[in-house]
Amino acid sequence: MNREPRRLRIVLAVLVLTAFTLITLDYRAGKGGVLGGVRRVVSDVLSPIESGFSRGLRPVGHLLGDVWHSGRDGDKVRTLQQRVATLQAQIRQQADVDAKEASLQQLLTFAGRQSFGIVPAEVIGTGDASGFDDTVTIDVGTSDGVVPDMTVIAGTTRGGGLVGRVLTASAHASIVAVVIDPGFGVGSRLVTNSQTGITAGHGLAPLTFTPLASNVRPQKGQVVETVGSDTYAPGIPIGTVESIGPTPGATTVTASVVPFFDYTSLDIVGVVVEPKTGTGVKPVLPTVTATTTVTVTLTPTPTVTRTPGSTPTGTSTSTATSTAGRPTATTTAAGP
Amino acid sequence: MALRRVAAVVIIVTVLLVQLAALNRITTPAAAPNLILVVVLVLALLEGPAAGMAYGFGGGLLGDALSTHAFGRLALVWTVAGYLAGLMHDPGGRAGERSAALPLLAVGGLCAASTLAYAALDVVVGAAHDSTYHLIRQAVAVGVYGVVLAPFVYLVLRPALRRLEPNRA
Repeated sequence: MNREPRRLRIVLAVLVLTAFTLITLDYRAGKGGVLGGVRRVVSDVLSPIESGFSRGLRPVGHLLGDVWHSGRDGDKVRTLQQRVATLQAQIRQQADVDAKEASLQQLLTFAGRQSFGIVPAEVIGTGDASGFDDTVTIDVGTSDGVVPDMTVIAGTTRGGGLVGRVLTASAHASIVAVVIDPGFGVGSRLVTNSQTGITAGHGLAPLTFTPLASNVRPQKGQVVETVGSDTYAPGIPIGTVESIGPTPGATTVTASVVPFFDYTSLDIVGVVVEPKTGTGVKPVLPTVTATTTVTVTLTPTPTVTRTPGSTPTGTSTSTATSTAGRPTATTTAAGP
Repeated sequence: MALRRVAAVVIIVTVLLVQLAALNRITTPAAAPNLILVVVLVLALLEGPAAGMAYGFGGGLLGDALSTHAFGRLALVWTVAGYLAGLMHDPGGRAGERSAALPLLAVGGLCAASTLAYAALDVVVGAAHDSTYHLIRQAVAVGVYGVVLAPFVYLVLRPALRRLEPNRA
């Protein structure tokens, strides 16, 4: 019993050193290497289960969130609010599928207006086990034509916006860094006066937009959008300017930007596999063998009807090709 | 013995996936509750330091694999945390049962400390990270949620593991 603690401490030291070695190896190798392979294998094995948990537990999560946010006032109010929250959650549970249909429709409309070829995906995981990664896991991967560095967007009631970019992809799942990630930085511009700058994520602290020119003062409510680069497709709204403050030690100002999405509540997103057809940006989509061709119709007031389990139908010129059961919608519609 | 180990592994994998699929979406103030860390630490508390660091290392590696941060970061922190939680293990319950209140409080503290240690690794390697204010806020929140969750996790896991091996404490 006396030698036991000593032996344990040796094992502890060995494990700690192993972990250190792994960290070093991973930093050296970047995204590839043996450890990248390990990630892909683990993801291949566990993402179907994660996906199942996500679908089963999401309504419960909504319920907990509602109850939490309702419990702040007096007793009576609290009871009533909780009851309302519970009922709302029940409605939402039943309407879960409807909500997904709606956000898919918004996404397709947005992608159509931007002339993006997208692969729709469902969010099956949020963040990581440390609680620090600002990422979402989605249920599409390399077998759907998704590779790292692709842009990820989502639809909103007012149009759509930037979610982030694909960091890693396994066969049937990918991890997406969202815009608030501290490593995130994207060339962007103010929509109204085309002044360019950099939008950067800071984790839990607000997203910031820093104009490149020192004489630019962003106004509250202005929309910030991507300018387009090797990584990001152009013209995707990122968020709206909330407040303006000076940058410490710099002549430029920095604006706080509220992103269009709270990434913890994202359900349906789209991976841009074919940015702006016709602007010279090379499509990154691998050759797709079309198994079914469906005509999608997008009228000026977009009404894409989608019956559960079927492909979208409507009336404008769009084609959707499907590989491995997942629709790759390539929509062409007259832009604004 | 083996049965308990297998059960612990199944529990860790399941809770990790539930954490990613659902719990991280919960918008409690400052941070989402980190149930997986609490489960690893309570298992360590129930099984001792050797099992504790094994669960920490294994669970951490799995968490690292299902992420985009450097491989081994969670494993490093959780191994040490699992070991420390395991040191509070009461092997026999010789002179009646010791109260589990203090160890469970310590589990909450370890949750907060692990969160800070994990974040500190970011600073060490010079990677982009959240502001210090948000880090501390998050660590405190994870600790508080840990203290709240630990007794429930303990009350579920202890009888469950006992049933698998009735002649052990």
